[in-house]
Amino acid sequence: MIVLFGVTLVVFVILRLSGDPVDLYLPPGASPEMVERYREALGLSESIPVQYAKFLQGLFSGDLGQSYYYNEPALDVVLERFPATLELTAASVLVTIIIGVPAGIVAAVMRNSKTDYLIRVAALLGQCVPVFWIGIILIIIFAVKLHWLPTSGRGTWEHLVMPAFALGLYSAATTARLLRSSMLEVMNKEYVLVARAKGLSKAKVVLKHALKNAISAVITVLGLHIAGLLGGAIVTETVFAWPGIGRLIVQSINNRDFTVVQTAVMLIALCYVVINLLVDVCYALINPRVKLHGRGG
Amino acid sequence: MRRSLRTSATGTVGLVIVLAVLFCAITADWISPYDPLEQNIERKLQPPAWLKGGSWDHPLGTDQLGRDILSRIIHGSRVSMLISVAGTAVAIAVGVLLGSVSGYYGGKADAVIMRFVDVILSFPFILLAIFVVAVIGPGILNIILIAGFTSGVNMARIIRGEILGVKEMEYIEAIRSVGARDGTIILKHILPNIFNVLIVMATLEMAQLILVESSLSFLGLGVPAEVPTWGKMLSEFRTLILSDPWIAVFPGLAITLTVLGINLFGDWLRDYLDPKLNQTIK
Repeated sequence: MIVLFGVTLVVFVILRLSGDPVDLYLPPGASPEMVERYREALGLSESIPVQYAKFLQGLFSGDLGQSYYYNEPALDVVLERFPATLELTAASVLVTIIIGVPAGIVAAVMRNSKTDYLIRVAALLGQCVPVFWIGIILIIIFAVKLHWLPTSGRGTWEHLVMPAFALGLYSAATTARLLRSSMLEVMNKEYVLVARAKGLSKAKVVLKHALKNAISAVITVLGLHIAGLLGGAIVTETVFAWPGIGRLIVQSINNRDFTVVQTAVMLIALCYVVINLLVDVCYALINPRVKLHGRGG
Repeated sequence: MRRSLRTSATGTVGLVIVLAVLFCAITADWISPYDPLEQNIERKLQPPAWLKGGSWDHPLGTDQLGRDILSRIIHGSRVSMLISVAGTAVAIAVGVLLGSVSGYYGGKADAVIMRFVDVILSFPFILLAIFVVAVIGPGILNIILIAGFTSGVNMARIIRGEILGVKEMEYIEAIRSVGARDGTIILKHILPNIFNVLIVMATLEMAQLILVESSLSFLGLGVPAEVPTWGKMLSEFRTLILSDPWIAVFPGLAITLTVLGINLFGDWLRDYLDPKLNQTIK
């Protein structure tokens, strides 16, 4: 809760840092009377704490101001694009899990083999490639050369494949690297050796004993990444002309539509906080040794 | 495993890449075959030398205004390196200041600083950077400050943890008992002990900052229009990939290789300086 409050304060301070927001909202070359009228309409003649109080008041009543460009409430404009961003983020989480988890397990189980080496190199590269470049390369290969997938836009599942992959690659790479190292650590523990000695099959030991214990470290990082994907979506959406919040933010910055930018930034920060909270809960569920604050332990 | 650079192939490759990019950044004016801003419409969109229609006059081809791509990539290394190095310096300053106050003094200062860290970290890094740059305005200095500050906040948390571990050690208590001042203790006795952690974090942060800078440039929120950067080149080339797909390859390769180089070197550094660190960072 304190964090959420802090988020609004940071957004407010950054907006005020720009000096006079009137310069941002009005087109260049506006007449002095227009500036004056606008300043009063925005409530800028009042003191800073009063302005912040009003800003919070608006926030709680869901009134985040009018979009200057769309001429609609900013919240409506942002919420309209929200499902597209959620869809993209969810799909890239799926990519992360489908690619990252098996890759990490295989690399750990086949340690020091050629496959392990290949996965490690791929994962390392995956962490170094900028998401927009991967996006452009995917478009060149699958849309321009092979004509398998549409270049941009949203609609069918085919539209979703490339953006989800581009966005999910980095976290898939991180997941694979992390899972590999925590699996290796766990697999040397005595209880895993005991399980093997009891005669359980290797697959069973890996999946039931090692993975279960290695995954808790991964979940924390994965959670951070899911939240980070929201940020990465800004860039990915621009590459693929995906009509989500990220693209809206970039467009609104170019349109100088700062109420929309502010609303979108706060919405994403809110999601980020909520996701991190959920991750903490998941973590506590999987690993009973970790207790949530407030429940003692 | 503590391995010297001589026995670590990946570490060496990383260092060579980093040094090469640094060399390009410093000597860009002398080693570029052309002026990166020089336009020549007659030779526009000439492909790289090894493709049909290319020539060795422009080894990596020319862009939509006939500017030499190789020269622009060499010059692009300047912005990337400047922002990455200066941003990391800002990050270390912010991280050490917040982290040591928080870790050393504890109590209220710790609580306030850590809440502040929580708030800043509840924005996706790139989102905060975009927001600030959009509101305050683009510019190299602004990017260095905001990117450095945000990374620094991230570092502060780890530095705080390290300091908490060090400050209870007996030798610190001994120094304190002979009447050393807090500032002296932090600067002379605690910080040198967490130097390894600091240097490894800084390296990995440099790689992150290159990605952030290129993303901001790609979105058109980065540096002034006339300065060539890798991210901006890719954003300009995005509309050309239908007719000239080769054009998008080189700037992206430059970013990837640079980040790869820093990461390889950073990984080696981490193993070399402190094998235990693997778990603390990342």
